[in-house]
Amino acid sequence: MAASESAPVNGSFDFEGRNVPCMQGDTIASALYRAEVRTFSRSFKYHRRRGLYCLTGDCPNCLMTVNGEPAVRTCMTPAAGARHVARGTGWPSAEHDVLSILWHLRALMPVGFYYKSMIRPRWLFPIAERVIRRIAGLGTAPHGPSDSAKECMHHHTDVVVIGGGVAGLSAAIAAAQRGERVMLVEEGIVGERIAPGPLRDRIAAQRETLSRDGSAMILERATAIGIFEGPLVPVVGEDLLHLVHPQRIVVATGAVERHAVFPGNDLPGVWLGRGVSRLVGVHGLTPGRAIVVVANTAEGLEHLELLRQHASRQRACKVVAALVPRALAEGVAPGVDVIVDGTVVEALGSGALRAVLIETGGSRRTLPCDTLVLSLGYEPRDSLLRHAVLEPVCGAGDVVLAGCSAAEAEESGRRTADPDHAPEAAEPTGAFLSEPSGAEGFVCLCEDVAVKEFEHAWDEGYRSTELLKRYSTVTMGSCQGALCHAHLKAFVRQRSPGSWVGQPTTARPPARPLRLEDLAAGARVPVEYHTVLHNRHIARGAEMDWAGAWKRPSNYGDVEQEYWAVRKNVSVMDISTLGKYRVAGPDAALLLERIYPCRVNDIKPWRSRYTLLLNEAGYLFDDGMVCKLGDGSFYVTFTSSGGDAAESWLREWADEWKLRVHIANVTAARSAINVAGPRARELLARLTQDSLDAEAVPYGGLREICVSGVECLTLRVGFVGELSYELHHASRQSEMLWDALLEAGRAFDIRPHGLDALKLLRLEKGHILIGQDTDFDTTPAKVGLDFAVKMDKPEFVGRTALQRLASLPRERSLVPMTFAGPRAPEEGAQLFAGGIHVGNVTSSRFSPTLGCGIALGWIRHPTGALPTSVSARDTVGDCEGEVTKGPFYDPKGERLRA
Amino acid sequence: MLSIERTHAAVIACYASAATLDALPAPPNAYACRVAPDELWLIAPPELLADTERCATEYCARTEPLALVLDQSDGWTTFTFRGDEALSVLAQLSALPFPATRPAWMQGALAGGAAKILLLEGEVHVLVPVTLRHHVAARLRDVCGSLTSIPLSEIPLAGDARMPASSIRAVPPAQG
Repeated sequence: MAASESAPVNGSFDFEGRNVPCMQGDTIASALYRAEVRTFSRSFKYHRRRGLYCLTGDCPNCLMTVNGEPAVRTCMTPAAGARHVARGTGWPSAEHDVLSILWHLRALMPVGFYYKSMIRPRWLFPIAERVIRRIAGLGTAPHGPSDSAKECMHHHTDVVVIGGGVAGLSAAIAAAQRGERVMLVEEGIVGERIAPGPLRDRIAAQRETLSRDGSAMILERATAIGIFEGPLVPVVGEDLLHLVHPQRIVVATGAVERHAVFPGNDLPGVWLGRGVSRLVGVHGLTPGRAIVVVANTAEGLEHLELLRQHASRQRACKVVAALVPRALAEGVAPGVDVIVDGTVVEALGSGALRAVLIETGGSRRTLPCDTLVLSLGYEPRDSLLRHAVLEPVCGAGDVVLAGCSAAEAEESGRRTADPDHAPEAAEPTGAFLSEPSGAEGFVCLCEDVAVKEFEHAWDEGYRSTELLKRYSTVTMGSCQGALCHAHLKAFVRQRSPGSWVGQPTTARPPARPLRLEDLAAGARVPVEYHTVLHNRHIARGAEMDWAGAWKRPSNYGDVEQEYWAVRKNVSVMDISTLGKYRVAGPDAALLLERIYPCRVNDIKPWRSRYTLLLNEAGYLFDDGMVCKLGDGSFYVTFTSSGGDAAESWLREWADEWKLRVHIANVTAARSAINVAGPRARELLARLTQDSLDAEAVPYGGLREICVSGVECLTLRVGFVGELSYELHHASRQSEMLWDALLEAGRAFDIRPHGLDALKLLRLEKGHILIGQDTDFDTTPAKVGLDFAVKMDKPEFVGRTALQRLASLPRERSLVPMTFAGPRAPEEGAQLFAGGIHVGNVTSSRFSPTLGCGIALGWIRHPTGALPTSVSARDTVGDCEGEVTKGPFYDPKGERLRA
Repeated sequence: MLSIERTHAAVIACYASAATLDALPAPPNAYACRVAPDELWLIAPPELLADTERCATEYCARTEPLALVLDQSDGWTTFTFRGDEALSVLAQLSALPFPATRPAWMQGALAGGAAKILLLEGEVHVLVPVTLRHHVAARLRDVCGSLTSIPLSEIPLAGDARMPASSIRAVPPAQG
């Protein structure tokens, strides 16, 4: 049923301080039109007054801010959900916009002016940019988190049909009848945009047929925004982002009526035929008092007839004249002044349509009117089709047969179910502008691009669709070329007939405007990994921070105390984040020997070795420990962030070499706690009967021991430079073990340490952090890790590259540095030697033990010799430092071997 | 009515040659789920952990001495879904194409992390790494909030229900 003045009021909304009532079935635009609003927006560049035009969501004229959300297409948005509506453009208001003076200054703002002006002085551009953005309008994006939390939902179907018109419904019915799982996606409600009549009845019957079948899912008020590889069709629904994974896709998005270009073509009062038809037929509103209709199509005659009947009912309006081609003249009902083969030369008026200047038979005449209805032909709404180059997509209906009849559309849809059906391609569009009649007609309503600006750009050398698009920004507005793309192509083809330069521009998603939050649907929550001790850390007041994908304790409130606990007493750290793997099988040793640059074959059972992981180019990408548990059985660890990549690396090489080896990721199942400090042995002795002395568990050794009832694989390692035992154990027992260690450690003034303390402790030992101290092209030699590379091994991954690199001079090294004084330079500080920039600091801290700043940093030394002194420049100032050698702390490693 | 419980299952992972795993006799009341050509999981009620592990270890020791049999139970948390809406909930968290056949075994991404999914008649068991259990629980609360028939407060995610024993012993190879 068409809404009308007699329909019941169905709520209201605030429009810039006015209360606007809504009728049943109203969109925001129709409710505003009923409330006598005629200026819906101001244009992007010249601030020209814009009114309703297409009512199909294809033009930018009705974009408004709705409930705080800018750029909402009010012609497509139900009024029911609106609370506050405002126009986003115009200053001080859209009705009285001072900035409309820009139209009179247009000679100063030719196409591309912003690329050429405001370049000098440079400081001016940021100011100008802000001003231009404010002037352009389109509303203000809301800041802060959205109050909606849209989720996504995946659907797996055989067919997705995009578009709920005759062709789309026909395609969906045919597919459902073949037993396929079908999803039909419609931007509005199926049939709601069609005026009452045979077409609407036909669509209602089709919908009934499809619903009766039961196997089809109909998604309404849902917009397909693109077609991606897979294929994947994201569909923005009201509450969900639907991610549809179909076997094939039918695009039945129809066609938009051709946008005509002549001076004044953007005045309020100029309409596309379907827009007026919807206004009158669906919403029961009168477009104006004196109407001129230009009809080049049979559908145009239907619009004319609808208007004529409406005018006869509403005495306040009249169809003044109809411009039709001779072939259609007989189809015009009596009583309408028919002008055969006339063309519109110009729409006259200032701020609203006052008259149209037409040309017929070589003469011109002016027709006073306030409404001009244009029904000149069709342009396929084919951007989705153009998204899909390699996907199984076909079109149906107007999108491939622009201007087809309902029967042809139905047949076209039916044919898509045939597996042998050859996809139909959109027909090339017609001639440019339907007789261009002036340089100031707007081609692009979104970006205010007129014909003369095409000409200007062409003369400047932008002579292809792609270049013209980028220079003039035509097709780059909110309509994404729905109205103007055809004109762009036609213009170029007219200027350069037969050339490739007139090809359609590349269509990219989104095909329709969408919210940023729609893109984030289902993905707004970052995935953070927690160890099983996470809650224990929180309970102790830990400050948690990201470490790769993990959330780990940075500190427990006092970094220095944590540091001293390790250096003087004993401390614990949750190191469950380490990548942990079992590697076993007949070829396990062979795999590791070939992967690692260290020797693996000579590792004795229950001994471990530090190792690097190199890629084929000899570049370092991870490190860790390799522990031998027995013949063909190893336990290996990697860094917290590098475990997954390292696992893939191992698996790929195992496959490549066809080795009989099994790789088991036990990172989650096995937790680990590092007990470190000079009194670590004393602490553990209180919790275990097993011997932990240097003979039983030497440095680099490992052993199964039972700590407080928990079976632990214990590794003697020394990342922090003190006596350390890594206790690897079953995750379910981790909290128990942690609690036992802290309880027993009270006597030693134990406190856990976090990453902040760890980074200082390892820096004092000169240990690097992969990723922080390394670059993508770091070789072991550059970071002083040559000892972990055995070039006398016959083969390992990266060996060939390292051999080649060894013959080249090394011009860049990671070096340790000390900085006298109370502070260390900031990480990232720039390094200078003799006033020349030589590198940057990668890690730095003030060392409480050494009483000075210490750092690692990259230094270029093209002559081979390292500088002895450097100056580090950071945000605070300059620090003078010296390049040193070896670990800063316990250089002989006596403490960790204790 | 949808119900989601956090459950605990025994997961015994066997790493051996494909031929060895193909012939592995699944212990009673354990689901044998193929993860990769050289990896098979035995999923069982927790009280059967020791029996299941022993059974697999003995078999592998006889057949392929350097095969690995590991208790991975601590590495995985199970969410057990019951009710018609289970797959609708999962479809909001995973792009996996859930099959209509039962039993079925799938692997892939769920809520941004890795997941193994065992689909049985009337219930779906979703195994996620224990390091992500908090995240998956939170995401389940998020998406279930959009199902009006499921009051948020009624989702017993903190439970420790036991996985039911089943006579089904073999599940089709991994897909997805």
